[in-house]
Amino acid sequence: MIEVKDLHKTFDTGGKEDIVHAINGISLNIDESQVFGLIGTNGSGKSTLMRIAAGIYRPDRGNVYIDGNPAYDNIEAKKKIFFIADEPFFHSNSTPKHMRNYYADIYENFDVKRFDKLLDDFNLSLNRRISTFSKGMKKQLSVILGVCAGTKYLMMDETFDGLDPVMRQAVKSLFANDMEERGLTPIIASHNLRELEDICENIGLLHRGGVLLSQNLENIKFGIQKIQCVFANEEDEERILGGINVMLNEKRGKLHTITVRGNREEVMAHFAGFEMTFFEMLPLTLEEAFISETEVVGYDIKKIIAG
Amino acid sequence: MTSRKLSPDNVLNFQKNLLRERLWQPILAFVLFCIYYIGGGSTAVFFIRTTSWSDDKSLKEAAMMLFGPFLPPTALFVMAVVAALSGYIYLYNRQKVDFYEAQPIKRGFRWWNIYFCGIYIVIIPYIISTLMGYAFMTVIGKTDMDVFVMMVTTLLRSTLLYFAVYAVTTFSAMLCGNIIIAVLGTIVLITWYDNLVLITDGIASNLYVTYAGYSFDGSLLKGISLNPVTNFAVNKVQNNIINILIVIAATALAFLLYRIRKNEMIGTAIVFRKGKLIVKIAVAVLWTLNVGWFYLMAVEKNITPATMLFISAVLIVNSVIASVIMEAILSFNVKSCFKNFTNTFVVMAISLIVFLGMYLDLFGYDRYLPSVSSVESYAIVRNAYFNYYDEDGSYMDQEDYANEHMFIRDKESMDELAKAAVANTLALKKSRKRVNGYETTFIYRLKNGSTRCRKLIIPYDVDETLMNKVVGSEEYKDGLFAYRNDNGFAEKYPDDQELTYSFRNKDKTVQHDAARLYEQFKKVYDRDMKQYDYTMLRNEARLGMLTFSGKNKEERVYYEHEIEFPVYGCCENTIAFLKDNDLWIDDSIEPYMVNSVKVYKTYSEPTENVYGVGVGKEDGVFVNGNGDEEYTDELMEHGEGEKKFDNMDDILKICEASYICTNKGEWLDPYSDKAKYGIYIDEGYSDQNERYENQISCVFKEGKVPQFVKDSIKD
Repeated sequence: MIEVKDLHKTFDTGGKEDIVHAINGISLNIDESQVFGLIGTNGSGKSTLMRIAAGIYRPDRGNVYIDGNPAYDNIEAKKKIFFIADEPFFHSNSTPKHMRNYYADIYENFDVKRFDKLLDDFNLSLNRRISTFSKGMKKQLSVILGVCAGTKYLMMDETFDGLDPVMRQAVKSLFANDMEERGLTPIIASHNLRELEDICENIGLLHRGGVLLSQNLENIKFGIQKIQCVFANEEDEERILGGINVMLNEKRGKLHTITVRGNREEVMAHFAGFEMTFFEMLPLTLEEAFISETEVVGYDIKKIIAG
Repeated sequence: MTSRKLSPDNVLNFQKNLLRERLWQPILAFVLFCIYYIGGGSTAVFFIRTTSWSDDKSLKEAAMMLFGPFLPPTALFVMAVVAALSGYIYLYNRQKVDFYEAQPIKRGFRWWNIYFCGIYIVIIPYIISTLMGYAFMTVIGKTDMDVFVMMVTTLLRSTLLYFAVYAVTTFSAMLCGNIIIAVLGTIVLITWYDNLVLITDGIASNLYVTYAGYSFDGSLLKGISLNPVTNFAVNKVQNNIINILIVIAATALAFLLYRIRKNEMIGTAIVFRKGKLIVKIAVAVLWTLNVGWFYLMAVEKNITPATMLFISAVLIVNSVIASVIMEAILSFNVKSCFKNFTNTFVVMAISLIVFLGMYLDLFGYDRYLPSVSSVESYAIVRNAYFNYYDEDGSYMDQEDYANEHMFIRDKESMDELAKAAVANTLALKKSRKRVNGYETTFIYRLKNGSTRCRKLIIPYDVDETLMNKVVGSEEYKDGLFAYRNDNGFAEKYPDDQELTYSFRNKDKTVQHDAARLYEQFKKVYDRDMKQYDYTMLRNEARLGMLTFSGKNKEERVYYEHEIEFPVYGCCENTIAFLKDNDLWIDDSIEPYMVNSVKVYKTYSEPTENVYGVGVGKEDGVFVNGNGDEEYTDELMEHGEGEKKFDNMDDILKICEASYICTNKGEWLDPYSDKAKYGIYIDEGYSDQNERYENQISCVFKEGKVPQFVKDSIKD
């Protein structure tokens, strides 16, 4: 498990007014063998948190523990992590083969054969110069290197952004396979909620250096329902809605789109007792769930999770 | 490879990876050095063998030059900077930092491996190519033990230089967050000390009237620097020790900075906030002091309250300019150049304290004299224009020679003399009059092992008895006359020995048996020197100079070494010796050989001017009727204060009243006729082709200046 305990990190950019509080007292846990998504806009602290967890930055206060070991300058912790940056670096004039050999020297569980196979599966050449790869191909290579490194945790900072849908699907399959076989824990940072919706199991939402929300995705969705309906009698609206916990109610003409808190069965049972011209329960997107959760707290979450 | 703990297997693998990334450096180093040693050596040998001076000596000379400390150390300097910066350049790039720092490798492990890699990737190719070059020169050229020793010493010295520059550059790399600033930082770190010493010396010599500018503090401190290149060039034991200390200190500090530096400070000029402040103020102060020194040099010795006020304004303006520019550089933003402006006041304050503190002698430097009880011995130096050499045969300054050989222990006399001199010096400074006394250097050897030096002006009216105690002492003569410490000079330089007497533009030389004559002469001269004291020197001018010279064929550079003996008119035994050995040159003047005589006035009343440090009356600064200063040679051209006599009667009288001398003497009485007047006797041309004028320099016998001469030449 990765534990983040009361983490603080500031950046000094110059004069007295230029101290930036990138992380302001974050505490959260990342369980093993589950895909964790870290969501937030630019400047929210996702990359900083990732880099502290990867042992690149030293925290000012608090710490990040990788299976009980502090992350910074700690081999025992770093052996369990493979970090893929938003702009991955490769040695100049190197080929995938060079990088494979390089990482094989560093990570004791690096699977060379699997690397060669995956490279082939993804249609990447072993001996072609990486400098001739496109941006997407470089990201694919990074992911393959990361998966083959055999580490317990795989951290990706905005790696998914920019991958085409087919590639995203292929990567998801890889993760699923490794999670099942060896307990891989992927941690993905992104500012695009929609991209992570169908892969992540747990989500952490960061905003201005703090955690707004850290929950299991199903739990978020389980407690919120989205309904589209037309009341047979508009006068019944108040009576109907008064008996449930309404989070949002949008009306276009006679069509109501209502977000309510509660499980599916409870909500269905409530509306069954009333005459409705039209009633449908709609699937709730992660974005809608977030909006619902955070508007209550007062944040204009649309600005945060614009995708 | 498993854990990244330090084990031989891990280190080797890590080095293998590092080398793979930096392979171009050892290859380039090897190629360049091979071109130099093998290409350069073969070219030199080819040219020698195809010319008329093709012999073993020339080939050896070529080999000595090839393996000497010239081009290779220069190349190593550059390579050290490149190797250090290229090894740690990843710290300036966010992508690379993410890549390297996320790996399961201890940061310290990575740092030290990079550090040592940066050393051997250049040093090993350098050593290999040097040895190859030596083998090559042995085959095609000429090498021997001297060449081998030169090769080995250059190898060792250059390697130490490389280590030192590499360590300093690494320190700069850890301090900075950007490669351009790291390069600039390296330049500043290497040169700051020498620059500070230079400007401090320059400012002090202008503002402190007693500043001597010499450092004799023990054998450890003289000539040392915190600049590895300077230490390399000076090449004494202490310099090499300092370079080793620089390696250790810079490496330790660099590693410490690496441990505490934050990876997120990529791209900033200085990674540490307080470090940025210190660097900004330090560089701005250096800049401002340099500008102030430049202005001091521009005004030369015209240090008045008005000029100091002007210079203070210059310092204030330059403090602002320097601070603003430094802020812009360190922030990478011209618009932020006025940020942190309060630092400017710190720069201003430091600069003004330095200048005004020295000008007003707030620190008491000019007034300071070591107490008698703290002094072990003294030396005093008045420029005698002799040549001095050290035990290795290298030329020495007179101050250096006196420091090594003059140990005056008559503390009371020296202290009394120094007090009179410092009072006179400070009075001249206050009155801003030109020097009015004998400019000397006092050297104090303190009991605690340190040395102090002061330039003091002994007043002309100093107590003669006191001066005789000092100048007439055996210790003084030991530090003045090289023959008294010749250390087997004749045996050291046995080749082409000569004993030469020089007088009135003529020389007489004895070569046969010169060494034996020299030994005899020393004893004779010693007897005459028993009368040598202040009184004698005030009354006697130097007639000529006897020189014993020799060479040593084994020396790399075959030049002449000399020991000199000034000959005075009162040295009867010396003159007799010269006559007996056919070295004497007639000192009489034949009036009927004279075409004309020019007599000029050299003395003038001191005028209100800056206090300055002149060199006595011989430099002939004269103030003409308009109150302007002129130098003696200008005087001669303009004809003011001089008179030419070509009437035979006048010539006869002047010749009778004067005598030939080569030097009026260092303890000249400025009020004597000898000092007041200069005489040039023109005997026509010394050669048939009329290329060389035969002018003889003379002085008047005391009290014998003809009245018609006095009447003819006005003040």
